[in-house]
Amino acid sequence: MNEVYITGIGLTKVSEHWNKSLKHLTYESVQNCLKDCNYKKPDLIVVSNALGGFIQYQESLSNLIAENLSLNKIPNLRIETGEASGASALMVGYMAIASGMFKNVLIIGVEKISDALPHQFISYVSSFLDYEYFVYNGITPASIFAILYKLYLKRYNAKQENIAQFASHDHKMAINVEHAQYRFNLPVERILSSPILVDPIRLFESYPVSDGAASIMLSSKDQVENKDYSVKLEMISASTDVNVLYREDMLLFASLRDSFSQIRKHAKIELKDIDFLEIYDPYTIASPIILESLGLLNKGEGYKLLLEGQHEKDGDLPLNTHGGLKARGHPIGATTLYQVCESVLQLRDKAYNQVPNAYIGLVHSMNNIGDQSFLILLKRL
Amino acid sequence: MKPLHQVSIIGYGGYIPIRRIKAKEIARIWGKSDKALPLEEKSVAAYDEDTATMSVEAAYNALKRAKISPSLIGAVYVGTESKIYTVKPTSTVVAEALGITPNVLASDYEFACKAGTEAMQTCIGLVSSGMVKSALAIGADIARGRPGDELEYTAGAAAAAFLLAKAGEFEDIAILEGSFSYVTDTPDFWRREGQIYPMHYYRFTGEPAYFHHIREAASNLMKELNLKPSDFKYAVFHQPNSKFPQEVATSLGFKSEQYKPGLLVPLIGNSYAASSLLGFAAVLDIAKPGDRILLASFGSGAGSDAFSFVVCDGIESKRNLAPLIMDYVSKRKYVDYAIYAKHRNKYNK
Amino acid sequence: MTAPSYWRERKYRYRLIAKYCRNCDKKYYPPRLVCLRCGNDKLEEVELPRKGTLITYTWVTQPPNEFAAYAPYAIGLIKLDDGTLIFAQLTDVDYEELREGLRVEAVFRKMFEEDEKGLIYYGIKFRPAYFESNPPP
Repeated sequence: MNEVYITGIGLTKVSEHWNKSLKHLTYESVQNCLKDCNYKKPDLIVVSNALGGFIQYQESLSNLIAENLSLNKIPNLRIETGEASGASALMVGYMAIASGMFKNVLIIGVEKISDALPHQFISYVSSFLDYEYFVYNGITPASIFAILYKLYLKRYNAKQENIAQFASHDHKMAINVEHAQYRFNLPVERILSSPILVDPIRLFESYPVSDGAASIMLSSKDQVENKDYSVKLEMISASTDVNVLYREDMLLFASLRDSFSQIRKHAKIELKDIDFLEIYDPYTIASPIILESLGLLNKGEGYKLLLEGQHEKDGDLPLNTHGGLKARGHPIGATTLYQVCESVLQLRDKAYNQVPNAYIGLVHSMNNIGDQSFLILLKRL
Repeated sequence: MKPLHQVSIIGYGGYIPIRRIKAKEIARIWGKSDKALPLEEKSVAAYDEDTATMSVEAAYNALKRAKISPSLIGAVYVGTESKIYTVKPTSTVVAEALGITPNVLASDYEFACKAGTEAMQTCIGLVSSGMVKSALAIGADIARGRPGDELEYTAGAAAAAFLLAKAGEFEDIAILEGSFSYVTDTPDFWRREGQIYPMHYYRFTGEPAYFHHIREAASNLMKELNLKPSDFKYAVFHQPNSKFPQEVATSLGFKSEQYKPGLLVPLIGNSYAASSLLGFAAVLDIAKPGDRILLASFGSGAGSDAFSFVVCDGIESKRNLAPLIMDYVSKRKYVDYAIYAKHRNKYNK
Repeated sequence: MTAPSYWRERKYRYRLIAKYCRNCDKKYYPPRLVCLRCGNDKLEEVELPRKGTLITYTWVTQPPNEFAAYAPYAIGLIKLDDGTLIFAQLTDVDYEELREGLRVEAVFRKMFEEDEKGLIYYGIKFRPAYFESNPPP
């Protein structure tokens, strides 16, 4: 298999972009990416978008984007795996290069959530679960996370302020990040006094309504021009888990644990080798479970990462250094690509919260309640 | 009327929604005196309840007492004036929810508050003729009270279900001795298509409607069966308010110990098509083998069905297989007018 | 929700019917086509018990569109009396009455309506069990 490199990245600010359509956002992001990679010509487009069909009534999105951006005469695909769409789009791009079929693949993640009414959006995002038995009963992903939250607090005798701390950390990280949606401090007291969303999840423990587009140029080795500027996409692993009801342990994302086993086995990487971590936490309760599922901390102790500063940019395992889903924002189909772009900035020494000696980064993406988890391993050249 | 082959009740059950509103609370909203109110309180169906959901719970209780497989039920009839759809029977949803479909007759009956007993008459004919093994008659309603109208105090909600079969085939709870139906075209209460709330003609609904039809049906029944009021242990009548059933019972010659046990309206209101059937179920909950019970419904429009049942030994073992009516009556949560209006969606109309 | 889609699943939704794998002695609700453990695709239909215990619950104030008119409501994780775990909406219960260990029972209720012209959708919710004693608050 051929090696795969990231030769360019392009982001838009994450925000409620009332004046920008899907077309505008993609154009802006792709322009930034093409400039960044010195105008490589892609021979394949892969678009990641989860809810364009519902919210903008737009299907066949990759076709529309390629046509609008005059990226003609090359194949285009749209990939959707719910919230983890960005990771699977990246995986498809990886396969395209690794197989030798393509030389430069442009991955574009785009989403506009702000166009939808709040109740509609909740219906749409709940459609990632089995519509006929979940939305039908009024059960949303948030309500399942809320139930896990209660189980977690009870089983481990944990305190909500320790879990809410993850959102506070995300906000602190985003303050000086230009493309982040929210760039203000959010102390834990403010989080815990915000309105209850789905008991016990507070409003400020949940991801915001975001629009954004992030693009990445994947290239084969012979296409790499600037070694200092390019990053190796070492490996993408993925695994799935059964419906929450049938798991042996509801407070463990087996999909993530298994995904990481693949990374450890094939890339010969251990947790101690990783210089920074991006996790996919739509609600604060996901964070400790993710860390425990990775094996970083014991069960029930996930929050301890935040206690001694190991999660800060100069700690042992810097976490969500650009604000994560909570503060940088969560334009669903684009989110994982934002995570990867931010990791590339770290590995180029161009990050807003630069981790010293950043050499290896790990990005986590997941759908629903860890129904599918992806891990993306990136290395400095 | 006597069926060719004797018919009995092999299962019965009821359901009353948990929420209640006091008549005093309704009077408070409309600035009326809380003296001389037609009853104490009435039941309030929740926003997620309707005639189908209440019928399913009542019928579920009836099936538990009947102890037969749903596949032996050949007909399901829901008598109601609050059909879930104007076109598409409530009975099909009920039959599906109880696992009775597809080899079954189903339809909704309408005759105001006597729709349930009309259904019962048809069931008697069907099982007696041998066309079906057993038949389910349900009376259920979520009565609509026009805001500020006098019927708003009494418009309640409930369901009652009776499973009938040929006597002797399954364990009998009560055997039918005979029935008498008396129907005329009497415009005391009606609702035109597209209208949400019914119209009623105040005092005209009394003597020429309620009293006349029940008296005729009940007295003709007793004449035909050669019975007098003292032959009955209990007498249950349709209950639009606390006064009417007591008056008609007295005028027919019944005493308070005969009609009081079946009088539920002071606590749950007028549940329209379920009203008399629910009172009958409440009486079965306490009756002993050998007791004779008179059941006389009344439906505006107008008509009355009168029945005479004699309780069998089966009642002793079957009674406690499902909740009693008084169990439902005593399970209650009070709401104020605002919550009541929210559940019954009164501010959108 | 389309009429055919609603109609296809009615049996499972109206009567709490699960799919059962005889090899593994495991019941699945929502009903599955294939057993998770052994891959058996000849699953049988079985009615689940109508009573259970509330393991934990949450209170939804941000509902999907379908339930916008009915919020807030409770969602519970329920262990039915045969050990099967299910998620379900709870009804006839106020926030203050909810607690872990509450005995609950299945009831047939309206889920939501399309609109004034559309279909009415029915299903199973759970309410605090009548006529059973509950653990003290």
